[in-house]
Amino acid sequence: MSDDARSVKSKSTAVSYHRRVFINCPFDNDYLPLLQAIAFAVIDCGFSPRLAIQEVNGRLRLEKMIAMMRDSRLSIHDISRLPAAPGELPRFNMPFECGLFIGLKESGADEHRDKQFLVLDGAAHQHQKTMSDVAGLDPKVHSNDPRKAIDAVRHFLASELRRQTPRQESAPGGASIWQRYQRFRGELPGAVSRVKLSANEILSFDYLSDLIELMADWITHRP
Amino acid sequence: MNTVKNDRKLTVVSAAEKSSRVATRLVQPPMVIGKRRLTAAQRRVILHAMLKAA
Repeated sequence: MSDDARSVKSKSTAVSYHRRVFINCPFDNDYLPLLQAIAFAVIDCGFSPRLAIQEVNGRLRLEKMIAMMRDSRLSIHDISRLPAAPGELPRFNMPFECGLFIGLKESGADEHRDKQFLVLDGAAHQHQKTMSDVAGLDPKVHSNDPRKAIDAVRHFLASELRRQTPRQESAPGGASIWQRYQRFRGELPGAVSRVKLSANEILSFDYLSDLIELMADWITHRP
Repeated sequence: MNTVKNDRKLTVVSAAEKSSRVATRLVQPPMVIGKRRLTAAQRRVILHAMLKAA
């Protein structure tokens, strides 16, 4: 095992490998509402989100991501991002990372054979033009709507729960997760004002790690 | 070998280390993100206020 993998493993021993979900998506303000909703759904279904931005230090980013992928049984890959304007260059990170995860799963190594992943896309049939190799993998469409993204994540994780703990655990429904997420968002502005923060600040990328921890704490207290 | 100026002194950096820094910059997203700014105590205050609001 590499030093990177060991390091990530030691920091995340509290959560089982089977409950870690690596999230591969655009890290920008346009995607932030979707990412926040996806993170909430992952936690509300009893899993733990893993994002490359959670570990920002001097290590090579790619090595960190691969270590996170090794340590996560599940992953969500959003390949919806297209160049916003003519002449703008596309970002290849998401398809690249999706390929890395599938490569791990199909590497022949026993410890990665049981990995499962969900592919998200922005519009129906878009993947047939942008990444047709995943055509048989049935990408789920979120139409840039957090509510739809929650449904897709919920269905993916619900099937994982059925696989991992048959007849013991079940995921809440998409409507329930959405309502709880709205409630969380509704309570947030007044609460963060206690520490002299605005709702816009706590919902910005700078505080994403804190927001995810708050989600986890809130969900723990409001099962 | 190359020299990189930091706040107080000139540091000698090997070619391999310099190459590693360049690679890091190339694969990182174009913005500084994920900075943790809240303390654990601040998060507790926020959570307490949220739970109390119900």
